[in-house]
Amino acid sequence: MSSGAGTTLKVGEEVLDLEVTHTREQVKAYADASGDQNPIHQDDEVARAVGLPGVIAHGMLNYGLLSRAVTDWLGDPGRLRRLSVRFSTMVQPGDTVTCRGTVASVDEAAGTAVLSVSMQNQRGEKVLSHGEAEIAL
Amino acid sequence: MHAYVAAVGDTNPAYPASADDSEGKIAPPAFAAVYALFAGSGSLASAGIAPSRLIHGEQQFTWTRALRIGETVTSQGRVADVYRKRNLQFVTAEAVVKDEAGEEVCRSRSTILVLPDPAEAAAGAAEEQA
Repeated sequence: MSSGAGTTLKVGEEVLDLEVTHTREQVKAYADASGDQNPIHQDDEVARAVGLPGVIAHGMLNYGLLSRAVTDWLGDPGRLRRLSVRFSTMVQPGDTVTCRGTVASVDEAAGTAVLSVSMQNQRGEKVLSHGEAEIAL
Repeated sequence: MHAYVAAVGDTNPAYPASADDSEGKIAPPAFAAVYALFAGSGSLASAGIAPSRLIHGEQQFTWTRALRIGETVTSQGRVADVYRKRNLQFVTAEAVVKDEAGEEVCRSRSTILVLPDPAEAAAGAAEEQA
């Protein structure tokens, strides 16, 4: 796999390489850093009371990890122009998520490219689907 | 911001690694979750909808440029659309983030599923029984 820095992108080329196993500590750290202290991310009893299997990771933590996968690949984070996703499957501590992406289109004239991106769990279920990242070339 | 960077495990040298590490450093793009997103959900809270009833369905951020440490930004949120699909209530919340010069730096668009108010649902069920 090529790096996203200074190379010519080909449509269909595979990009992104990030695998993370969620822990309660990471979810707690994200809650503290982001200010999102909704108890469904930290308290199993509260989570079960609203019908969840237990605490779940913040959707925006996963968004942040996918964003990190794109900017890791780009090198320069300023080249990420847009990132859109659909939250499809919840993630619990202990789950391992993997970010994947392919080059969907390249617009040399505009100096941009669009990556089709996603995150899936260890069961192959899409955690983040319908993902698109627009980048500056 | 260094706590956010640590929470997502990001080691890009463009971001601050500690509280003292701010010279020439920028915010990770997805840090917009902190400065842009609450304006949108704040719009819903001011409409009387509790955060525990909100499920995040979709999220898009569009960035014009990276933010530097120490910059002040203002985020203005609004409810852009309210609709029902498959008997579920959805809201589209938007936010526009501007810098001190009034220039747009980031834009947020969120699709949020609004769960029924538990109190109203219980009242509705009681009415049906009566």
